[in-house]
Amino acid sequence: MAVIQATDTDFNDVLTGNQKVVVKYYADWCGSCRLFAPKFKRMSDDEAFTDVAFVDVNAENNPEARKLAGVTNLPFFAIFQHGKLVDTVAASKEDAVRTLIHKLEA
Amino acid sequence: MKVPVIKTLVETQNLEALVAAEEAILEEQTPEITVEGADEGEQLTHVMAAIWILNHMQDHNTDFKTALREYTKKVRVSIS
Repeated sequence: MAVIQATDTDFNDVLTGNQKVVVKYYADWCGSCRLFAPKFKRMSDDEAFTDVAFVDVNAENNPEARKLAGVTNLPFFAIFQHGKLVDTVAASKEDAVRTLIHKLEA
Repeated sequence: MKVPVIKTLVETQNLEALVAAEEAILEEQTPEITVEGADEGEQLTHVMAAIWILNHMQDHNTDFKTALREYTKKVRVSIS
């Protein structure tokens, strides 16, 4: 599945339009974010996560979406279920993000 | 992210060398120039910061401190 690029304008629509969502907050100045981009895309194609929407948010330009998850570092990941924040992690390791996504209930 | 590392890169490298280092890190290769950092992500952040600051200094005819202030504003606003 393609990674959805969301902004403050459509972030709530993306959260409410998808039951399970994982958001990657990034910034153009962040090297770890740039290195993680292909991993996030690969994870979005993983059969284990077919029911999860993968979303990218530029933290620098989207303060509302950023504040909703309480972004403290980058890259930063947040999972949402039925539009509500479930958990977050600031990490550059794929394992940490996979563990986070698995917290989404079946 | 460590400002002294960025400062050293700005003072000792040119844009060409920094862009080559950026490409090397993205391709999981060792850059020809020395780039300090805890991991590849931080190294890449340092290189991209040095590129941004050098470009800003040239485009706006400013000194390092002014360009660094503009850069740190970008960083701060992303995580506040």
